[in-house]
Parts: sequence; C-alpha cells; structure tokens
Amino acid sequence: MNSKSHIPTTRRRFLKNAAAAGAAPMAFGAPAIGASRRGPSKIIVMGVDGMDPALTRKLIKAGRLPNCAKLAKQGSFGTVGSTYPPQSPVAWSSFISGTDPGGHGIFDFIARDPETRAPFLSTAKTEPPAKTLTFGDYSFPLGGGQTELLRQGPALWDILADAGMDSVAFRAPVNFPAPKDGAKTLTGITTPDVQGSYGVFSWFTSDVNADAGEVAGGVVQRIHEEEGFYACHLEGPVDPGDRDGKRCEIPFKVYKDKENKTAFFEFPDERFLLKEGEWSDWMRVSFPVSASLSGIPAICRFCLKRVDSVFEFYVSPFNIDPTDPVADISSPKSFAKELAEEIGLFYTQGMPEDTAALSAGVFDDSDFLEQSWFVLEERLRMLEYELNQYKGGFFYFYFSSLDLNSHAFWRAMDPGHPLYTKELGEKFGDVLPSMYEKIDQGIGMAMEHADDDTLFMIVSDHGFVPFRRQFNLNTWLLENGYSKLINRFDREGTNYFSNTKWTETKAYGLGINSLYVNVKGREHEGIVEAGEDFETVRSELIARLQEVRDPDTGDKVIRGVYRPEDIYSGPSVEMAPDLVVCYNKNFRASWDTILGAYPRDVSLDNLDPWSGDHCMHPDFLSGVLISNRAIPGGGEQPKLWDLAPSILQLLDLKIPKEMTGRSLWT
Amino acid sequence: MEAPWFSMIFASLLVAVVAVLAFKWAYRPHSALVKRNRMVARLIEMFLYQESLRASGRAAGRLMKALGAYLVALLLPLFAAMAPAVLILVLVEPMLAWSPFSAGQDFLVETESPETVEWQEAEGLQLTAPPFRFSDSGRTVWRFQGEKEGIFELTFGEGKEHSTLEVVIGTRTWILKPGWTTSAAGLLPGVGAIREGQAISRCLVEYPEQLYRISGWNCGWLTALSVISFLLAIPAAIIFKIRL
Repeated sequence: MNSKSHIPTTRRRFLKNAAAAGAAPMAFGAPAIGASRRGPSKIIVMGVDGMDPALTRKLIKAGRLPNCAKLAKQGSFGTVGSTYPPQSPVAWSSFISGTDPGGHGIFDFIARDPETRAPFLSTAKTEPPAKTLTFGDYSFPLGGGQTELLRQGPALWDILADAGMDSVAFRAPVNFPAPKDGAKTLTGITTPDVQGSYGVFSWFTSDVNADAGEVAGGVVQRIHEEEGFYACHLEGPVDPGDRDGKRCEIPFKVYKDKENKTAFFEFPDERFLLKEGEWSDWMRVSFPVSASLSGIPAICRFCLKRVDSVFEFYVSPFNIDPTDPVADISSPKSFAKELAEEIGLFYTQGMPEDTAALSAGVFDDSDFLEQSWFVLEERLRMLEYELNQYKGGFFYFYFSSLDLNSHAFWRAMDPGHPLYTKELGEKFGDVLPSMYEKIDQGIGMAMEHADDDTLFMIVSDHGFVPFRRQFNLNTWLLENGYSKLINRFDREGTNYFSNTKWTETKAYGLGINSLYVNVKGREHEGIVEAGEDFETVRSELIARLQEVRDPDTGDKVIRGVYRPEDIYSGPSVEMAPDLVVCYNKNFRASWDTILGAYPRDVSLDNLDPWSGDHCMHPDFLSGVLISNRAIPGGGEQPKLWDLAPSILQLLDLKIPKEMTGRSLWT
Repeated sequence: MEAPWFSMIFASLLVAVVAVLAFKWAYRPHSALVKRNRMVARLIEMFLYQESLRASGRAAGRLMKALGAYLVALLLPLFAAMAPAVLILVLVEPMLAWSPFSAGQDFLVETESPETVEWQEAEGLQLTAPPFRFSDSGRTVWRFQGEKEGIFELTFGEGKEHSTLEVVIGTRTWILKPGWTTSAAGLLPGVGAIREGQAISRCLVEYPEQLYRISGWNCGWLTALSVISFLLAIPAAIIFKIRL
C-alpha cells in the first residue's frame, strides 16, 4: 500500500507503527578530526533526564545529595539552557549533536508527513519492504524494510570514537537504531518495544464493566473463566507473514486460587506462580510468524493485580530481547547480549516506567513506584558493571527515572495541583527526593572511577514545572475560525483530524508544541498561499495566541509563540513546524489536542497523574550542569548544544562545522 | 551457574573415543577405499572430458553413483559408532543438561497425590507462595526458595505415608533429572525421584537448562557435546589410524 495514501489512523495504531529499527544515515558524513589529542584522559558524563535545578539545589542544601554537593564544591553548580521546546528527544539531540534543533532536525516527539498529515514519531521512520509476494493468506516480503534514525549530524560519542578515543554511551537517547559502527552504545529513550511503539502494556480483566480494546499506550482484554481456567493470549506485533496484517498471538492458560489469592500461569514452555500484587521475573516469549519457522523474540514481565470476584493481571510491553534482538539496540550488535548475560535481562524500551498504565488506572501509585524502583535498580546494576569495565576515554550514562517519576509524582509535591491531597503528599511527597538520593548514589559510584585527569559532568536536559491545566490548541483554533469541522457535533473522534474540513482550515496543532499552517501545495487540500498569506496567518496567530488567557484562572496560557527561523539555525529549519508554541508554567497542550481531537473545552484541569511537565517555555526549564571543572560564566548561560563542542575543544579536537554551539572553555 | 566444563569435556572425549573405536570395528577400509578411489577417478574423468558435454555428463552420472556407493560403505560403521554414543548421551544428560537452582531463586515443584498433602517445613527451604491446588485433579504446584547451597529434602505428607524427594541448590555434586518421576527405582538415581512413601504418586522438579558458551554463543548441552566430540574425534581417528 502506498504510504502516502489517506489512511484513517487511530491513535494507538500510530503509536504502534511509527517507530522501529534500522540504520542511521549520517547526513553530514564523518567530520575530519585532528589526529593529536590533549585534555583529560577520562570524560564521564551522567545524563540525568529531568533533573530539576531548583529541586537539586534544595536537596543539596538539605544534605541529601552528598555526591552532587562534592562535585559542585570541586567545580561548579549551574544551569544549562534547554531547547525550544524543552522536550527530551529535542534537547538530548542538541546535546549529542552540538546544534540547536535547526541542525539535528528533531523538533517535537511527533512529526507529520505534510502531504498526508499522517503523524509519526519524530526520531525514527520505518519504511516497509517495497514488494511482497502473496500466497493465499500468507505474505512474503521481498527484501527487508528499512528504519532510519532521523536525528541529523554525527553524535559526540561517535566523533570521539572516530578520533581514536574509547567511547561508550549507555542508554544513549535518540540513538535508535544504533549505528553500525562508532562508539560502543546501548540505545535509550526512543527505543521502541517489539510492536514498534514506545510501549504497549496488556491488561487482562474479568471485570464485566471494563471496556475491552485499545487505551492510550495499552490494550485491555476481557477474560472469562471456562473449565476452571482463563484461556488468554498475548497480542504481539503485526504478523509480517499474514496478508491481512493480523497480530501474532501466544496462547496461555491462567488458573486462579481465590482463597489463597494466587494464580498459576501456564505457557507451553514456561510456568510460574504469582501471589496477588507480585511481579514475575523476566519471561522470554516468541511470537509465531505465519509461514516462518522463526518467531519474533521478546521479553516481558507479569504482575498479578487482583484475585477475588474480579481477576486482573498486567503484562508489560514486549521489550526487545537483548539476547536475541530483533532490531539494532546496541553497537556492536553483540553488546546487548553480552550485557544481558552479565547482569540478567533488562528493560530495553526507551521509556520503561509505565506511565501509560498509571494514566489508564491499571497501576495505582504504589504499583508504578514499585516498577520504577525496579527499573532504577536495574540501571544501577548496569552502571556498576560498565564502570568496572571502564578504563578511560568518554563514558556517558543515561538515567530516565527522574523524568518519568517527576511526570507521575509532581502532584504529590504541588499543593496547587488539582489532584493534590494531604494524604497523597504525606505518602508520596518524598518519592522524588528519595529517587534523587538513589541517583546521587549512582553518581558517587561513577565518581570513584574519576581521578585528577577526569572531566566529570552531570547534565540534565530540562527541569520540571507543574502541569495543572490542559490547553486544547485545536479547539482554540476551531473557536477562533482557523479550522472547521465536517460534523460539528463530533468533537472527540478517535481518528486523527478525521472530522476536519481541510478546505476551510487555515492552521492545525499536531504534537505537543507544534503548530502548522495548512499551506496550499504543501499540505493535501491546503488553502493558505505560501508567501504573504502564510506570513499573515503566522503573525496573526502569534499575536492572538500570546494573549490567550485561561477563562477559569485568568492566567496567560502561552508564554511565547515563535517562528522557527527566529529561534533555530541550520539546514533542517525548513522541516520545523511553522510555529513553536511554548506554554506558560502550569499549562500544557492537552493529550487530545496533540493527536488532532477537538474537545469541547479550550482549557480544563489536568486530572491525569501525569502532573509535572517540561513541554513549556525553556526560560523556566533550564537543566542542571554540575561539573568538577568550573564552567566559566561569561555572563551567558551555557546551552545544551554548547557541551559537545566544549568537550571536543577540551580534547583539542577539531569541532565539526555543523556544530553551532560555542565552546565554554574558549 | 558455571557450566560443568570438566564433565562436558570428559563426556565429549568418551563419546569421541568410543565412537571412533566402534567405527573402526565396523569399518572395512579396503572396500571403502576402493569405492573412494572409484569416486576420485570419475571426478578426474569429468574434468578430463569437460570439452565434451556428452562424455562429461556421463562421467557426472557415474560420479553420483560412486558417491552413493561410498556413502553406503560408510553407513554401517556410522551406525555402529552412533549406538554407543547415544547410550553415553542418555547416561550423561542428567549431569550436563540441567543447572541446579540458585540460592534465593524461586522454583516450582509439582506433585500429584490421591489426597491433599501438606509440606513439612525443612531447614534451608521456604515456601514463597501458598500451594496452588488444582480443583479437578490431585495436582499441586509448590513454589520454594532455597536459602543456601546444598541438597535439601522435601517431605510431603505425614506418618508412614509421607514421601520424600530431594532438590539441589547451587551445587554440582548431584545428578539432576527433571521430568515426572514416579519412584526411586530406575536407571538413574535422579534428584526429584520420590525416595519413599505413598503420599504423592508423582512429582516434577523443573531445573533450569544449563547453557554452554562456545565462541560467544550460548548453546545447549547436546550442541556443545556434539561440537566438542567432533573436534576430539579428528585426532582420535588419526591416533587409531582410520583412513576414510
């Protein structure tokens, strides 16, 4: 099927199909690096996603982060400017490539094909095999599909590896699929599960009131007890050998013991017994593929949630099995397997803390926290093992825990949040500080491997602020005459813009911070002429959106709306959204508006546990920059894209011309 | 758990030597060499007459026939070699194929009994979940955890009717044989066998599969043993002067 044809795409289908594996073309080619090298023999960078400067400072003051305090005392504690918008893939790409988004081409979690407006995950794009051969119900691909890393420009660690320095990057963000050569890497944030999504959990319930089907980031299956057991099946990726695109399935039986609150899970090759509230170990599964002897290997974990009149259990997203990876999750390819053999199986998906299960009500706060601690402990085991292998050179390690737990538990520290209660504050108010402490221990572990000839840095891509109110950008556009619906009563259709009357729509929001003009000749059924009309619409939108106030609180919703050419530089600027919308503190785009729905209210309370965020204005979302070598102030705040050129300059290596950041030690 | 490499290499050497000797016993070198030489002759013939399609085609046909005859000559000694090798494999499987449980690791024991039985607590083992009893049969699944390394006795039932079996935690001093076991009698004194009593009629202890790492690849015991035996069979064949 032509990928550019108009396909009504559901949100879940989009999340499932958008990302996947493949090779990474380096658009700029490998830069020439000077052969000689000076500077520190060891560079250790701890990338802590979402580490907030204000909270870090507070915890240092309280004596809870002794290692951060020690490092700051040796060198400096400061902040680092994040990107427009301060989203993790955008910001980490700037750190990695030494450019602002205009150079690396990642502008939002979600991008779109201008011709079809079909959204896709912005960091990687998959093309299916060009031709397939069909026999009856079976389909045989002729040649392989292709996945492309969309981040442009060489990565810092690859430049260092090319220059002859030992260079390793663990859980490297925006690095999937892993390049074939260069530094030793294990991919991190943006690594999909085997379904090609950022993670789809499965929820099995016997509750007759539960709606079976797809929820954001998950699938709900209704199960019935027959002949003393529940006949269930794991629903996996799309079967590449099936003509109709059915999903691969693995059948299994579950027996429950209501009295003892246990359940016995029986797979053809595996059996385990769980108590209520208990998690299983990692389990290997292999999804059978039609007309093929081999299956799709994956790993998952089970959690038995409830065994009484209602029987419920959770299955984690099907992670790529590091011992038999179906996609390039490490470089060299054998590295993931070697690591798994040393420390055991581990989460390979980019964002393992299951916030989708929390938002869907499948997890309660305690479940989510338990899973988060498991992930963090796993990361620390990985860090300890890799530090023991580390002899010198560049070492980067990434932690996701603070980011995803700040999203989930910010409400427990924010009395102004609509979900805050005193009880919540008492029970979970110390979750984030405790997690900061644990990561500080990991930092301390890494500091033991540093010597006098080491540059040691802690970098975060952004801070955090409360997310109390949701703003429906598309609803605002509709109410202000910038878009039109085919059926004005259908406001919350599940398909992307399926109800939008494009011939009368001037602008549309897609992604968290992106706003597009419906340009004639670029978009299908575009109506705004490029040139003067385009500029007029943009100017009007900038002026009006910056004045929008929340009808309930009276606060300004948006801090700034920017033309990409005013905030970005580099060869990818033309791929940027037409306007970048940066929200004020407490406000963010709603979940519905991100994917093209038009809910009735322009703004409303955020009643999702996802209560802290950073997709607002970068002015109040700077990241942390702690270093054992003082960072010269010079009156100007360092930016994330300054760090890569600074490290290269410190090593006396040539800074590629594509890197637009400045060196801090010049 | 570290793979038992010493036992693996010893077993592979045994298989290699026994197989080579059995092969030599059944092998008729003169007859086989005649057939091999005939095959080489047909090959040379095919090259010599490659200008003539008809002649080389006929030679190719003869070559296939000679190859078949040569393989048939090898077939009997190959079977003769395989028979003792298979017997050895059956005997060594419980020593090489399975790994004992690790201390702190949960493991399942499944029992089948005519009546409900209870477990008698034992030092070094703890039950980590209530036993799961199937309502429609006498099957019960027990989840245990070994607290330390050793060989531990599991006792089900009480009095004269009690049954005992053993599980191995973290030590290689015992033979492991998972699979449904009905009694202690049999070819193998496998752990998991019911030592005494009638409280349970069958039991199943599932030990994890033991993997062997060869050139960066983890493989099962049979693959590892086959590869190593084959490699050891080559020098053995030279020592015992077998000419193929």
